[in-house]
Amino acid sequence: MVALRYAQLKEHEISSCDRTFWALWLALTLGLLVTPAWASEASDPGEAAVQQRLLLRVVAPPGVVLDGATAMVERPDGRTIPVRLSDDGTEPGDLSWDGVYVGYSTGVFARYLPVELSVTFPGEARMVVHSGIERIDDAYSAALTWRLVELDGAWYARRTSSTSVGFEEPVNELVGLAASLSWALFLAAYITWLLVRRRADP
Amino acid sequence: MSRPWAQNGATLALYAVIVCAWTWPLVTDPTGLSVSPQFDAYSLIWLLDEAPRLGWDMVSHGSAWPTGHGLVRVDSFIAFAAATALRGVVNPVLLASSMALLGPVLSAWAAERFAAHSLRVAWPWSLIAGLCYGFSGLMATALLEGHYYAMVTPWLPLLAMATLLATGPRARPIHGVAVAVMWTLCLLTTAYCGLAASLLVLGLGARSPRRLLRPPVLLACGLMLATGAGFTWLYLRGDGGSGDTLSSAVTTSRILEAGSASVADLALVSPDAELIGHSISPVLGWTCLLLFLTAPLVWKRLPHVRRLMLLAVVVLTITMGPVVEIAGQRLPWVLTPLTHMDWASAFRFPVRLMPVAYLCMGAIAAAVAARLAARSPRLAGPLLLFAVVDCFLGIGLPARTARLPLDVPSAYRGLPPEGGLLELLPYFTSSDVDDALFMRNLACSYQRVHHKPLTHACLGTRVNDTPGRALNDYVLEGCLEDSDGQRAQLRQWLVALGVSHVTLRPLLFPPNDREPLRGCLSELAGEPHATSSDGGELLVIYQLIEPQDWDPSGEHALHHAAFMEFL
Repeated sequence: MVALRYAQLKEHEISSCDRTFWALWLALTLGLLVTPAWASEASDPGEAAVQQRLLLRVVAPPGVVLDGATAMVERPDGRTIPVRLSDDGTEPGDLSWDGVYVGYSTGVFARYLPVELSVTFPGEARMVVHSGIERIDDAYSAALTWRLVELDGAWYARRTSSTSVGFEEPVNELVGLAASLSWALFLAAYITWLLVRRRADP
Repeated sequence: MSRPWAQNGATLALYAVIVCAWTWPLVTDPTGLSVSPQFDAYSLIWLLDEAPRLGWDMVSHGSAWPTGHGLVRVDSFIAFAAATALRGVVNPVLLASSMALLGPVLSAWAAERFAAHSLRVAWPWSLIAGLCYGFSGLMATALLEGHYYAMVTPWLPLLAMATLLATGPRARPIHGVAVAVMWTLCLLTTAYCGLAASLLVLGLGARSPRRLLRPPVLLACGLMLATGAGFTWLYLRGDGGSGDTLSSAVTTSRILEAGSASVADLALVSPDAELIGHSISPVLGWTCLLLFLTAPLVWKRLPHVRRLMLLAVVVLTITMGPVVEIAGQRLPWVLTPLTHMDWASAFRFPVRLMPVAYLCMGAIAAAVAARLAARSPRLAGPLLLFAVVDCFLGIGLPARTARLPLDVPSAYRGLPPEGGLLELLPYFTSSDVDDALFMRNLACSYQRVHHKPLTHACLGTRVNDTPGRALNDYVLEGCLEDSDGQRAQLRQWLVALGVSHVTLRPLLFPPNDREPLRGCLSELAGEPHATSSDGGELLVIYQLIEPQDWDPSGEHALHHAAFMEFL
């Protein structure tokens, strides 16, 4: 009898819930949108003096040492800023001698930038390894990373993921995978425990 | 306050808090900020601005000037209808942001109701269904790619609910009508959502012939056929639109592979997800997945669970595309036969069928959680927290969102609305098509301020072979190569076509081409009309026709004729 009464209550609750769901849903979709103040754009275009900080990185292949690397960055205000990329640990966030050459460029907000990358191998002349337009997906800070690649005796730089490079690369990949699997194992253990408890319960 | 109101209020509050965190910082400036690092949010803003101006023929005269651009193959009729209905009330940027902010909440809420109503899952365990569906990896993809309309999909759970009712023992004609309406809304949200809805109806509606030959089901089928036929007729009426011409199975296979889920993608977002112009990350939350896998152990007396499980597995299999890579081995998969059919390349993103899998898995996960919690709710309570954590952990939001102001460069302000605007863009090779789309979409989104018709077509992915592109390239060639005395005719052509202004973005061109281009445009139009370096771009605008020289009477037909002659 108690179970039947409980089931009837649940049934009633669910159907009442459906009605309130529809009522609230209509109110939300129609009511919230109709506000005349929202008919115009609130921000004042062109007035925001956003400073954009770019982290520029060039990853050299294992065993390859560069004398230097430079990125020429052109900002919308017409300034062309040469950025020296170094691997001696002097730039913030740079691990020294890990094969990742790091530099920063700060300037006015750009949605895209022409960037020319050049590197110097020991005893050789400076060579341009990349020249192109880079889309920047954040107005405040973004990271652009290239990997140096040799093809038929010529070097060029190819855009790569900015999340993990150099010494950090295997560590980060492993950490991501390990964190995901650990989380899965923990959840599996927890759910198994709940299952076992449920079966053991009289 | 009664219990249902409190429960629905709490559900709404939870989902609203999650969506604010998920899309952060969108809620801080919904009228001036884009959180999408990709480029389709710009074309959506353009569409939302343009939609209210269209007539029944659905030809946009603000795009592909002077011929106009048919928009019957628009991605989302729902977005289109919302923009038209809210004309003058909500600005296009806010409308786009509202879709991103309200979409997941409404979708999650509908999924929660589906679990509660159809699977009899008690609250708060039904919340897990909403979390799995409304805050899924594919919803994150829609946010990051700028397909905000694809986030408004409460129709799919409601369709599932209606289908089960219409094919159930107590079916009524109204249930059949509900199926048809929800299916139509799915189809009008996006074509992929329509396809997913069709799979859902087939999967959940498959019953014995005796049960199917009843009025509610027949009514639903009749209405869906009529709507589907209307949609197909409209689609076939539209011009070429988005399809790439493909000629080989290799190309079809590559396209399908790029738009499919991989085994690794299901567990964790790839660090490269944002690199290639898309943000595909169909991550399955572990809580949802593990509870789903537990279902066979507890599914006794759970309604509809076998059909939902089968449907989830089938859809998940399809979304993996033509090839599955396991431990470096590429194995043929269910969609391999499609790679030999050229037309199949139109089905570019099998992964976009995933919402059906999320919905089925989420509902089952909620049912299993409720079953596990039946005897000791407190011990099972953390499952809810884990499902919330899953919305963020594997998917990587809000760390993947961008902060891009949607300010329009000041050079566009004050331009007279008369005459066409040629946005001069460099030639992008086929491998840079995403860059071409980005520039085109961005330029189109500025139209909401200057209101000048653009020579480029603002929708569609074929950016390199449109008439507007031909005009763009003609001007570039005339200025940079000047073969056959082309430059001498440039001004004449542009004026005949009614192009009153030309925009140059010097930084997009190689340094050696910039001065020749500036010189050429100055020769055609005199000194720059406006220059700006705000809004993230360096812009120089040249004016070919003074506003006082513009004669609107009968001009458009002349421009159209001139354009036909030009082509």
